[in-house]
Amino acid sequence: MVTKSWLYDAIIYIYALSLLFYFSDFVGPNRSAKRMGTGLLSFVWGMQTVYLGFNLALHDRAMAFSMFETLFMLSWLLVTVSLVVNRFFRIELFVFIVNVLGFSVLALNFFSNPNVSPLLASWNINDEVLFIHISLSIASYSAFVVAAVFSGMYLILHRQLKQKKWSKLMQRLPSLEKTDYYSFISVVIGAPLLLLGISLGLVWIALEGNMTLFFDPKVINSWFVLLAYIFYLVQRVILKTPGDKLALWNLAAFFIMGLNFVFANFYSSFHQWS
Amino acid sequence: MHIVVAGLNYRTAPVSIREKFTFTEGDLGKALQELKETNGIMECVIVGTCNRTELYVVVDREHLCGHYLRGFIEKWFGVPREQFSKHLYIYENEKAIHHLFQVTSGLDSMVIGETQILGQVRDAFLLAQQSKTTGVIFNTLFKQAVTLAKRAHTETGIGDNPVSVSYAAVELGKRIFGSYEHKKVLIIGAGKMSELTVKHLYASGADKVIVVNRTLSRAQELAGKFQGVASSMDRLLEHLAEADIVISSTGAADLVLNRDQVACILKKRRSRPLFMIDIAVPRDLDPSIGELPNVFLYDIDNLQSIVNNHLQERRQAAVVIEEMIACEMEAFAQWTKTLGVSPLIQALQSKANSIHEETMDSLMKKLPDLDERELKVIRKLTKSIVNQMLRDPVVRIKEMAAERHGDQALEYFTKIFALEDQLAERERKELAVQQHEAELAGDRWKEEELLPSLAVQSADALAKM
Repeated sequence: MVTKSWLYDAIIYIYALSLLFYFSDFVGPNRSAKRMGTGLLSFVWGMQTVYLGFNLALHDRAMAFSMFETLFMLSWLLVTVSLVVNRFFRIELFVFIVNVLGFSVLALNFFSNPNVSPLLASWNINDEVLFIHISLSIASYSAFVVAAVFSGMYLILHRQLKQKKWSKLMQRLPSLEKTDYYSFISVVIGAPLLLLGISLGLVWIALEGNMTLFFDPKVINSWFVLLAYIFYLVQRVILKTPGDKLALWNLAAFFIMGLNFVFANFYSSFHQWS
Repeated sequence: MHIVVAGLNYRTAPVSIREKFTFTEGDLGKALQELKETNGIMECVIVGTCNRTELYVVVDREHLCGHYLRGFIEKWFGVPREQFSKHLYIYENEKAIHHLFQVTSGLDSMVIGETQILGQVRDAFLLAQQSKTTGVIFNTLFKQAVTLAKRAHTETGIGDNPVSVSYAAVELGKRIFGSYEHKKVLIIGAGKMSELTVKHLYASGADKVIVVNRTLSRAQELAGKFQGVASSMDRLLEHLAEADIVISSTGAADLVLNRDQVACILKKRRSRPLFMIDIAVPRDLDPSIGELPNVFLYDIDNLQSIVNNHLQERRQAAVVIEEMIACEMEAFAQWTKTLGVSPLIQALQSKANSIHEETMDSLMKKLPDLDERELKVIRKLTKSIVNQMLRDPVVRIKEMAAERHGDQALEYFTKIFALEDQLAERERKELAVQQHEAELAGDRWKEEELLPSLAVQSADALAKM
C-alpha cells in the first residue's frame, strides 16, 4: 500500500471503520452503531481538515492542483456536507450513501501520484483566480453528488411504490416529495457554483491569451454539464416534469459530470486532474 | 415473598363485563391505597386500559392471596364474585412476571406488538410509586419490564409497520408526501372505510377534505365531521385536479374513474403526485390508472397484502421478544436471590462495628494515657483490619447468593458469623416501623371518615340556628 503519510493512512482506516458502523445501521436500524459511525466520521473530518490545511499552507501551492489534492478536497467536502445534514436534518441512509462515495474518492487517491502536476507548468500558481475557480468547481461537484444521491433514493422509492411493495428500506428512505426537493435544492446550489467556476476559468484563459483553450474538450464538456443541470432546473420549475423523469435526468447530468471529471482529463491539453 | 397478578382482559371477558371493572382516573390512587391495606399485600400496582384491568401484588402468603384479591374486587366494584370469577385469571410468581413482560411488550395485546400499552403500564407504575404502594420488588420489576419493552420495540421494530388497512394507507401516503400538511383529500363515496381512512389522514394533518357522493346529504354529513366540502358526482373531475389523495369506496357496479379521465387531469396537475386508494369491491378505479406517471394506485388487496406481511413480521418479532423475555426473567430471578444478602451484610457490618467499639472502649480503659492523636491512629488502623477482614466474605456471599442454592449459602453465612441476634433485632425494628405506619394510616382514614360527619353536624347546627 502506498503510504502517503501516517495521517493519511489513519484517515483511510478510521473512515473505513466509520463506514462499517454505518453499514451495520444500513442493514438493520442500529442506533448505537450509527452514533459510533458519526463519532468516527467527525474524527475523520477533523483529521482531514488538519491534513488539508497542512498541505495547503505548507506545501508547494502546485500540490493544490494535483489530482490528489482535488480528490481529497472533494472527499472532505462530502464528509462536511454529510455531517451537516446529519446534525441538522434527519435523513436516513443519506450519510451512509454520501460517505460511500466520499470514501471511494479517497480510496481512489491511492492510485494517484501526488506528484503529478499539470502539464502547463507555466501556470501562475499564486493566481487567486485559479484557486477560486478550482474551489468553486469542487463545491459544485459535491452539490451534484448530493443531488444524485437524492435522485437515486427517489427512483428506488418510486419503483417500490409503483410495484406496491413495502420494505424496511422503503420506510427509512425520505419521502418522494422530500428527496425531490432536496435534490432540487442541491442543484440550485451546485449550478451557480459551476457557472461561477467556469466563468472564472474563462477569465483566466482570456487573461492568459491562449484562445485555443476555449475549445479544449474539458471546457466544452463543462458547458454540457452546466446545460444539463440548467435544463433540469427548467424542467423542475417551468415544465413541471414528474419527479421520476426529473430524477432520471438528474442522474444523467451527474453521469455527464462524471465523464467530465474522469475522462475529459485524458483528452484535455491542460487541467490534468481538476 | 410472592408476585401475583389477577385480572380480566379482552380474551377472558367480553366488553359488557370489562366495563364493570374499570377504575376511573381519580379513584385509582384511593384504590391503590385500599388494595395495599388488604391483608398480606406488601406492594401493588393497578394496570387499567380499555382491554384489561389487572392487579399486580407482592404478597407474603401465596395461598390466600386469590381470596383476598377477589374480595377487594368484589368490594371496590360492588359486583358479587360469582359474576366475575370465571373471567378472572390469577398468575403467580414466574407466570405473573412473564405475563407482565408480555403485556408491557405488547405481546398480550389485541393488536400484537402495539406500543401504547407500554406507556399505560409505565403510568400505572409511576402512579403506584407516587402513592407509595410499591417497594423494592415492584420498583425493580416494573422498571425492568418498561426497559425490556422499549428495547424490544427498538431492536425488533415490532410496532413500526401498520397492521390495519386504513393505517397502512396513511403510512403509504407518508412515503409519497412526507407529511399531510397542506394536502387535499378527495373522498369518492361516503362509506365507513373511507371515513376511517380520512379520520387518520385528518389526524395526521391533512388540510382540506372534499367529499363527493351520489347523495349530497350523506356527503354533507361526512364532510361536516372534518370541516370539509361536500359535492356531487358530476364535479368529480374538477375536484380531482386539486386533490392530492383520493379515497374511493362507492357501491357502484362499474368503474367510477377510468384511465383517460385521470390522464386528462394529470396535465392540469403538472408535477404533483396523486395517491389513490380504492377500497371498493367491485373496484371504482381502473387498475391501469396506476401505470400513469406520478400516480400511485392501491386497491384493497394491495393494502391487505401489506397488512398481512406486517402481521407476519410482527409474529416473527414476537418470537424474538419471547427470547428476550426469557433472558429478563432469568435476570430478575438472579436479582431476587441477591435480595436476602443486603440485610445479612448490614447485620455483619453492624456486628463488626459494635465489636470494634467495644474493643476501643476496653483499650481506652487499659491505656488511659494515650493522647487524642494516638487514639485516632489506633481507631483508624483497627477499623481498617476489621474492614479488610470483612471485604472478601462480603464479596463472596454476594456471588454465592446469586448462584444455585443461594439460600443455603445465606443460611451458612448467618451461622458462621452468628448473625441471628442482629437479624432478629433488625426484623423487630422493621416490624415496629410498619406498625407505626399502619397506625398513622389508620388515623388518617378515621379522620377522613370523621370529617364528613363533622361537616354534617356543623351544617345541622347552622341549620338549627
